Amino acid sequence: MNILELQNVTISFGGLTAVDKLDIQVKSGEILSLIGPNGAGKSTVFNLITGLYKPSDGAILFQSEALTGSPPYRIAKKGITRTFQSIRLFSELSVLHNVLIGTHVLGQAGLFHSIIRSPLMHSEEKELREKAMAALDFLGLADKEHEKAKNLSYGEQRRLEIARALVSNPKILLLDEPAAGMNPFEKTVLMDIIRKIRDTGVTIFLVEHDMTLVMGISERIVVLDYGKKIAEGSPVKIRQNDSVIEAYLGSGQFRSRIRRKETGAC
Amino acid sequence: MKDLMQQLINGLALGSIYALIALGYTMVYGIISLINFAYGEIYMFGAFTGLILAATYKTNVVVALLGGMMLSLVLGVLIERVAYKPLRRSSRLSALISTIGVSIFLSTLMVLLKGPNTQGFPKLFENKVYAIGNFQITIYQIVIIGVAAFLMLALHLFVTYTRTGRAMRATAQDQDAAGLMGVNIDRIIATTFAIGSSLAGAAGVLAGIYFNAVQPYMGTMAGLKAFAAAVLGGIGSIPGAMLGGLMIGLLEVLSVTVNLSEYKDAFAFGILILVLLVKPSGIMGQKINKKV
Repeated sequence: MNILELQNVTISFGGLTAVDKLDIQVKSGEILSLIGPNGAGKSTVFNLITGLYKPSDGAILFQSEALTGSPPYRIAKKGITRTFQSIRLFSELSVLHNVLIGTHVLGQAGLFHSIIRSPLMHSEEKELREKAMAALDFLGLADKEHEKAKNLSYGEQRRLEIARALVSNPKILLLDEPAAGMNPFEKTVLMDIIRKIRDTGVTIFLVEHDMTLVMGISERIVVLDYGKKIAEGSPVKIRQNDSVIEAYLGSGQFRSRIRRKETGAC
Repeated sequence: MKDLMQQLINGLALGSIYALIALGYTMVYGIISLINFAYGEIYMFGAFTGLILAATYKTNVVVALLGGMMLSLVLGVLIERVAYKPLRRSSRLSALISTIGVSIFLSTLMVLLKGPNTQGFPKLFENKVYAIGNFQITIYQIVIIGVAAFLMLALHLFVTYTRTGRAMRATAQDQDAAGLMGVNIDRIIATTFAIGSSLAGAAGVLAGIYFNAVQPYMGTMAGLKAFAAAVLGGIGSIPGAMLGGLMIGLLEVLSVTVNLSEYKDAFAFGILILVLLVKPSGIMGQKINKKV
């Protein structure tokens, strides 16, 4: 069953088509990676799924339900959460509070309950705190709960982002270059974490440059170049695919990397 | 010395009023980096609501205060919806000019409705004077300082300990990321306007009682001074706005003590200029490194 489906999704910024008639199916419970050279449009795909960008054309379906046009907070509520390529934690807040923001979608107690400080608010807050601590524990950050997010090491900040995205029990987790800037040891730990998350039933959709990581954990890979899907398949198949090799290494013949219209008129 | 203590109390009462308005400036700035120049007029609106409730409907002080706060809250949310929300994605300057437009609109509207003259506030309760040691405090001052302190404490608890408060702090730091965590940004912005406006409304009613004078242009000067207070405290910082408000109030009263009362307004704006020159981030503000 497909949990997430991109159908013919296109987005252009001015004259630049960043994502071009893209079809991707994410199967429930799998680890799928999206790779491609710099500027291929990978992060744009994540921004489209999470509602930061609206596609110029095409549809995005989550559990067979159209997402297109929903604001980001609604999409998060449906069970799609993400991390960011450049870390975007709430750096002035504590580690625990960062994760508690992630629980926002779970809370029921609104303004009214907060003002009268109802029992519902208290019990809910306690429950959310326990959930947040469990998520921190899972990512090995429990002892840092009172630290400000900006004081964590780089690898810890990356893990905190995952904790924040995971605490709301998403159905699918989008990881945008989670291994960027990590040392080899941290990468091994990360691979382990990603597998463990998947084993709890969360589908993983990953954008990553690090080939060891991608080839090591992905069950399927989609390759993007110039906003178009150029290949799709198992890691073994992708490694031998000619157009993938060409996209990464070039064809050996001179070909301008500047995007031109197909007609060649410009 | 006796005189100084007395002036400190007077300054504290005046400063509480500035602080309540300054909180609105600072909270909205913290969330969407917009200076809402209409807060002075919401304060004026609150004062008139209190006046009408007390004079026409003969309500007691609690109803006048709560009524002033509620109606200001509604007005604040309405302004946000009509004048700022459509401009959220356009340049910051457009939104700023829109706030100035709203402020002129509101004071002119009030002139149309209630006339341009200063109106007195009916006596809601007997003003008693208590002597403590060698200085005096009036019951009005106790009420103003008390209500302001209570509201600020409530705001602090709200922002620190509730789910909505937490979402507000997250939105202030990174709007997009907060949205992706499931925070409804539109609602948070509306809530921020609502809270700031009800505080300004409360300040208006308190000022009406304290000065026994309400008029349609009272918000202009008070709003600008509160803005100076917010900048002095560090715009975006809630404790900063409280501190800045109290400091501007004290300074204004002290300027009267040293026989410079003609220049009391100049003091507030002199401070504003000084802060912008020497420490633009204010007392409690954080230095922001803009991402290039």
